[in-house]
Amino acid sequence: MGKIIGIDLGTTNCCVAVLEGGTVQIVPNKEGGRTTPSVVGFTDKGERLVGQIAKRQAVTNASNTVYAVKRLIGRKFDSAEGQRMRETAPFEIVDSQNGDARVRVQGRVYSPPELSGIVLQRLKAAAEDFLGEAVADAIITVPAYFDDTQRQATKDAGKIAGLNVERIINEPTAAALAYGLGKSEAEKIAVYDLGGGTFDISILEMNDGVFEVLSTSGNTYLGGEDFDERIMNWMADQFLADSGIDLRRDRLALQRLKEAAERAKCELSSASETSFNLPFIAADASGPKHLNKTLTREKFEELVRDLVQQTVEPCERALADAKLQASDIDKVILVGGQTRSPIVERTVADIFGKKASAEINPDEVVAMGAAIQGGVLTGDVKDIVLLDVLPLSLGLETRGGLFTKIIERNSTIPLRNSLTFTTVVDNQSSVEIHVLQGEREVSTGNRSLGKFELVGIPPAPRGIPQVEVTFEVDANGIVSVSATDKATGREQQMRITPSSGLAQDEIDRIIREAETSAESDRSQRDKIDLVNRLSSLVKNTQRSFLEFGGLLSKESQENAQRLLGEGEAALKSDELGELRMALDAVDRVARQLTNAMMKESAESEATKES
Amino acid sequence: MTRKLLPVVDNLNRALDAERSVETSESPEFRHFLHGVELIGKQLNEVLESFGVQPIPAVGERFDPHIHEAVVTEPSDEHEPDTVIAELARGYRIGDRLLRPAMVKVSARRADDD
Repeated sequence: MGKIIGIDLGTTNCCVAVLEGGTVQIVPNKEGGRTTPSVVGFTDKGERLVGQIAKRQAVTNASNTVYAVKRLIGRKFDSAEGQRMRETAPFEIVDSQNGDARVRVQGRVYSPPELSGIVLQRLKAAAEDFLGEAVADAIITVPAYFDDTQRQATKDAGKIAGLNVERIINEPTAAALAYGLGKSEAEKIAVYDLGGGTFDISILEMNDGVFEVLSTSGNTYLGGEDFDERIMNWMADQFLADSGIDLRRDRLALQRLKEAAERAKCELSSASETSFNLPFIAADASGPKHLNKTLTREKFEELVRDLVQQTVEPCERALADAKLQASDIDKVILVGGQTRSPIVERTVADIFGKKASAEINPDEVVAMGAAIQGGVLTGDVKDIVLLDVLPLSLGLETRGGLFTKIIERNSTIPLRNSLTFTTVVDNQSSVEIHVLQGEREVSTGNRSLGKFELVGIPPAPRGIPQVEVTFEVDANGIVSVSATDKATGREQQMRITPSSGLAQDEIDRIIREAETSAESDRSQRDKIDLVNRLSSLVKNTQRSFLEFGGLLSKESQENAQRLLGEGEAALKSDELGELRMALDAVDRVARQLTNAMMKESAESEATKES
Repeated sequence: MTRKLLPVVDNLNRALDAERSVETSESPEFRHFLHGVELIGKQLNEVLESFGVQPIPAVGERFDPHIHEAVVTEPSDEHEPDTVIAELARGYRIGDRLLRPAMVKVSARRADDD
């Protein structure tokens, strides 16, 4: 088996890591970035742009630039999250036949797994470049509160990208793995994750390599971007007071302010003050205006204090749900770039009564943990035994609309469990098996995974027939349920493909399309390379021609000029065939000039010597 | 390090642009001073060029997210849609690599194109 890469598929940014040469390494993307923005842009030239490049054209193409797909993956159109996205996103979110949220871009409807699949495809290609070998397997991380449908949809995204997703693991668990936990005795771990746009707190219990999620809480709309905004607004207010000009009205000034705010925030993590130097930020009748202010760490903390305070209550709630006190927590881990701010570190230390671990880059720690999990599966990492657990309880709907658990959450998988049920009325000839996932007592409070019926039960008084229902969960968390009438041996089973998500033939189609678009993506990339090479070749050759063209015969000079002209025409036409021919032609001219030049210098050397 | 110098280059250019657009009713001493600063700007550009740093063409070019970052769009009667109509910060490449994309204003697409 080849390497298994670890992927942190985040709401705002993604990160890829792999175990290589005995250490965990981060895979940089094509632009050299260690993280990649989770953004896909569909241009009207038919390109699919991913990452930083997609962000750069977002403003010109807002309705076709998709971001934060993670907020929609595995969700229904009319869910609360779906609603919120519909209100704020500039791209169109639409309903589908089975109620899933989908996105319409350029007149075509995409499912969230397809969109995440496009991002994953690029990450896969970057990993293959980095390792110099094909990559087929991956571990992808998800938030601990993701349900089966969201996990399945994330796996589908991987499949679409041509990846065999070996495991879906929880983000806090991955972070704990990166810190080398999971090797020792029992430990209770708190993972505080403050990312670009979301906040998650998870309480884990680790026993002999088994990580159980005891509780989770958070705020899906609180992150580093909110901190930046506070600084920006403060700066704009200061400037307004000084000059009477509101910088917020000027898009360019706002952009400079935004960049300066983010830079300042990062600097204040290590310096106690930072200065803003933005000359010529605005102008009015009295001339150009400059912004030159100092922001102390103290003032910054005052500006964001309430944001950090908002993370306290979820932490306390998570502890209460886990039935633990802060003092019971053995270790606290920080995840997400915003946790670098000292005010966050202090607040976390206050909440849990101990200093948090932050030695590992908080933007990369989750991907690293996923890579380690990959290493465990390939056998490269030997001293950890990791068992996966079922994140939510599974059970059936029983009489009166109640939910009867058959498998408790945090049971290690793979597993199998059976319970025997019976009929509720005389001569009942069929039973409906309604499979649900969740923790609530009433079945309507839980998520429906699927229904089927076992028919042909021979007439009998109620309470007599014996129907054995068996739940089986495999190592990937895929659920199969079977029901057997013990009297007749009649059996009915179903593999839970939840009443959401993509059907197998849809997935197959999407994979086929993804492969063809990978082809066109590659040829697009090739063309861009070609254009760049031709462009610099033409420029350099023109320069050489100006200097050394005189050395050529009149005929050759005319020829050279003609071919250079063709080169420029090819660049304008942007046609692949023309570009290739032009590259050859201009290359020949370049070589002609070089030869002439070398001959000339050889001759002049010779004359010098003689 | 080159990337960190770019904001300085930006601000020097902004200073020069601001003063150049002012009426030339300023004193000769000021104009000499301005000219001197322009020469410094030229020197700075030469040093950058010697390191292989090249500016990225922007205004008038077709918008290309590989080398341009669109910050705002504006409808324009005199330009084709998706054309760079103003450069808000110069972009630079070093050799073949992108050092920093140009920050640009792009002509908006027509409403019926969406």
